Amino acid sequence: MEAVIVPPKRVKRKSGAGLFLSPAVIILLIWSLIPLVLTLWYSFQNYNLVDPTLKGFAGFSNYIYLLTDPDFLYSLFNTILLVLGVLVISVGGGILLAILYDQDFWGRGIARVLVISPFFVMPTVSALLWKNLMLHPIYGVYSAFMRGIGLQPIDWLAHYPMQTVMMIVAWEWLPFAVLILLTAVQSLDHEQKEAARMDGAGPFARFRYIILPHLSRAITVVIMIETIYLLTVFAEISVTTSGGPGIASTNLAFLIFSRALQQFDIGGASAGGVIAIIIANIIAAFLVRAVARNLEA
Amino acid sequence: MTYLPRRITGISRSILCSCQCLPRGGALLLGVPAAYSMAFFPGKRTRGTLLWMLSTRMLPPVGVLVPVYLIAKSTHLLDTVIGLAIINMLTNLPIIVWMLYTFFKEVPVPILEAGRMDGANRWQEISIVLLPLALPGIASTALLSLILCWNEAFWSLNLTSSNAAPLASFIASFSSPEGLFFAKLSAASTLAVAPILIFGWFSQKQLVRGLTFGAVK
Repeated sequence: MEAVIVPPKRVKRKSGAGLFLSPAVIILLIWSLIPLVLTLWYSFQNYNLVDPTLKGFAGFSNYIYLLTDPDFLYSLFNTILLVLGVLVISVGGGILLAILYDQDFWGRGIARVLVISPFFVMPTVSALLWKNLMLHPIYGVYSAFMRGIGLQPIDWLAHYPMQTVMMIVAWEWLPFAVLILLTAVQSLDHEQKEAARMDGAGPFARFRYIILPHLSRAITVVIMIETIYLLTVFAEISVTTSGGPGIASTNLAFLIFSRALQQFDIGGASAGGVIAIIIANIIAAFLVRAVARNLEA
Repeated sequence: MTYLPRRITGISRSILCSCQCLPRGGALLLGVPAAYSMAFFPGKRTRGTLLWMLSTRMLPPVGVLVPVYLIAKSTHLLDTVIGLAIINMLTNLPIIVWMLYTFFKEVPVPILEAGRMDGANRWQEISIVLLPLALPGIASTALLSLILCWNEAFWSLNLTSSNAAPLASFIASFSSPEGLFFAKLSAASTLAVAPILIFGWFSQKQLVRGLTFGAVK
């Protein structure tokens, strides 16, 4: 007699499982849809808290006003500048530092902890410390140093506001890139590098043909996650320059904030919000696809 | 001397809001069942649901600032600890579900099935079998959400002013010339940074996974 061993079928208890999932899904649906719909709605309305007589459907006038506003274009330019600048610094520096910290050297553990620390510092704190302790034109460490060697210190935040904000933000995000890229570098099989070395590949060739391809996925992830956060940098600008002088360091996030909560133009701010969402969604689509690929693997 | 009480309430609020009995507890309460159901009972729509949750996190907060502000104002949640805690919970829920999902995926299914054979109902299966097995993962999930909430600045700066301002907003008030009192600034900054820095050092590995949604391990 042949014993047929039937593998036990996985018991399907779907009805219960859906019940477990629904609270989280429903709450997230509410959270993501209602504000989105309201933003869209407001963006087509004449709605200004200062002027209650101005009411009703506005058509595309909020968008037209925004898109022809030089402030908006300038802030869009600043946003792109900030994103690209910080990306170049943090990814470029991140790759170099990750490879450096992959080497064995004395005190690596502590050095590694220190290099990723700025990422954990509260953004308002780091912005404030840079503004007041480091770069203050009279009391700052930097100006003391410049005077010490007999030079005139520059008031960075007044003369180069956007570049300075970019530097502060890069200081926060470089550690993030190092953290992710270092983890990726360390997952590389050492025997592979060893084999390449035996075959006579120099350090540069090993970097170009082994390390960089291995890192490509991590680099993609870093670029996309950073882009999403960098598009909406707010705290650093609010604390250091408040978007000024003038609008020199206003990015899209800060422009929307000041439209809504300083000028009370709800309609215009909502139109800006819709544009910000569209830009972010284009990037998010790529990121979600990259993560989805990983989900299958 | 108004400085000291203000500082102390700032810290206690940060602990309330970010150390979050509320947001973290609430999000875990919602997140554990959701992650459980998706990890062990995957259906046709599971993948889509997971990615959709991820995409809600990609929504730029500034895009929905106006309606959230107005809703908070009309429900009297503006400038309250509860209001900020709810926002923090909602913004962190997707990340929590994702991280829990990747951790639950690593729990071997036969163990859960054995529990079921022994007559454990759904609730016992989660609380007695699954949660102890996944405890390290749950702990690091909680830690990541703690770090994110503690440092969260956008909603804190925009939705709170005096009554519910957590540390992030309190520190931001130093951007006036008050910030030139270096001793005070340094003390407040150290207090704001130290706890998270220590947590961060201990959880680097898990952070990478959480921050990249499992794309880099």
